[in-house]
Order: sequence, then C-alpha cells, then structure tokens
Amino acid sequence: MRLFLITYLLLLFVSEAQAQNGNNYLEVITNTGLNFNCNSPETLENDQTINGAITIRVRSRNNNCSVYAKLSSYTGPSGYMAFPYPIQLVYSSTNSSRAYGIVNAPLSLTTSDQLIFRQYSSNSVFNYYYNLRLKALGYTYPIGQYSFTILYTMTQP
Amino acid sequence: MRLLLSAILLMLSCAAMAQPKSFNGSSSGTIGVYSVLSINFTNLTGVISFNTPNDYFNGITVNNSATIAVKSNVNWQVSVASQSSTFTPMSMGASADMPSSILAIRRNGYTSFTPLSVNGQTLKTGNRGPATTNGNTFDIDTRLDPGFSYSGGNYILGVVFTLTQQ
Repeated sequence: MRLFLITYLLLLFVSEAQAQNGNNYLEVITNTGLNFNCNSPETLENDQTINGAITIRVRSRNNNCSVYAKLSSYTGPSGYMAFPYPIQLVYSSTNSSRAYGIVNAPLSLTTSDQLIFRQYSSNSVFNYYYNLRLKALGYTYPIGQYSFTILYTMTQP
Repeated sequence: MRLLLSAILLMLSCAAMAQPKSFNGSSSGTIGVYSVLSINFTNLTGVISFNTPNDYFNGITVNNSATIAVKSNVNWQVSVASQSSTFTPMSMGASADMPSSILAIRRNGYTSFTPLSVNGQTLKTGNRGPATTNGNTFDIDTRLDPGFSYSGGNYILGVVFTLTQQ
C-alpha cells in the first residue's frame, strides 16, 4: 500500500512539475511598445502596423501543442463600440521546424480564442514572430484612450 | 481491498496526467484617438471681373464658386472671415477703402448671403464622419457688389475658413 501511495504522489508531482518546468512553456516577448496613435487623417484612414511587435517562444516537449490568441481585455472611452475589434495579429515568420497549421492570414482578434499555430512536440524552443496591426478606425470612432490585452494560450492534449 | 484502492489511485494518477494542460502569456497596448479635423477646397473660382454696367448695377453672383469637403472625427463647424477689413488695391488708382463686406458668401441652395468681416461667422456645422457623410461636402456661392463707390482696378482679399470642433 505504501508503495502505491508513494507512486501515486510521485506521479502527481511529476504531472505538476511537467506543467510548470522548462519542458513545456509559452513565453510572450513584447519587442516594442504596442501603442498606436491616431492623430491625423492618414492615421485614421490607413492601417497602422507595428512590425516585429511580438515574439512567442514555445517549448512543447511532452506533446504536440496548439497556440491560440484572443483579446482578454478591451476598454475605451464612453460610447465606444468595441465590435468589430480593430486589432489584428499578423504572422511574420518562425524559426520552428516543427510548426504546422500556421494561420498566415491577418487574424482579427476577438474575445474568443482563435488558433494561430500548432507545433509538434520537440525538445527545442522555437520563436514565432508577429506584427500587430490596427485597422483603419475611420472618422466615427470616438476620441479617447483605448487599451487592450492579448492573451495567448498554449494547450496540449 | 488494498488492490482496489491502489487501482483507484493509479487511475486518478493517470487522469491527472491526462488532463489537457494550458500555458498562458499576454501582451498589452494602447490606442490613442485624438481630434482630427480636415478641410479641403476644390473647384475654386479665381478672378471675378466687372466688365459691364450691369455688373456694377446688380453685382456678380458666382454659384458653386467652391466645394468644401470636411473630414472630422468630432462634430464640427466652419466659420468664414476676411483677413482684413478692406480689400488691398493691386493697381494704380484703385481705392484703398473698399470694405470686405462687399464680398458675401452663402451655402449653395440658401438665399441669404453673409457679408464678410474680420470676425468669423458660422458658415456650416456638421457631424463627425468622412467627407462622404451627408452634409460634410457642400458648395458655396460668392457675391461681389461694390456699387459705384470705388475706383476701377485690381483688388485682392484674403478669406479665411476656419474648421473647429463644436
């Protein structure tokens, strides 16, 4: 009985350790300020893109993984209409040799998770580079300060 | 009994390991949207000439003398004023006291003209939106009526259109 109990506790520990240690993780690096300014006709009428804005570092040693993105927060001044959200995640490149299912088309973020790529299990850490785009707001978007948070989630089956 | 308990514990262990795992990261940013107002003139009428007695008797009205297009993300108003209280004579013998009020402007489709002065007068108000928004693009008419009080010659007057937030 003791043996099984110890085995059980060890398995639980290993299970938890696998979720937290360096074998499997997702890291988001913001390479520059993700701040957009709309202060001229040109900036209201055209998309603005921050190139090389975000690097997503993934290690998924134990299993294949899927990575999703969504807006976990979007706030604005009184009277703003959130939907459609004007933020797009635009895939740029990766150094991964294990990636598949990459969404190449600009992804309009919503408050629901949307797949951005998948990766086969690997011992290596791979980088995925993304640009961030603000779609042209036009002249009907209320003036003021808006803020947003993008949440990236890596899941393993 | 021990065996049963062990089996349950092992199943629980496997279940714990089989649960999908998720890992999170985030990034945050801001969008600053500031007041943006833009005004554009097209189809401007250039020199207006007084060539016949009737021009002096009746004055000259030029309909659709300019098209004004406003783009703004705030509700707006356009006012108009003369740059100086009198026309500037540009030729020998021209009068130096011809007032700016002999030049008047109205929105096309309206009846009354607004004589110009150095004080701004509201020409039109409108809602936020691009130039294609209803009312954000409009034509103006111009009227000049100097009468017979001033000498013949060439004159010039600066007209200032000011676009502001309501």
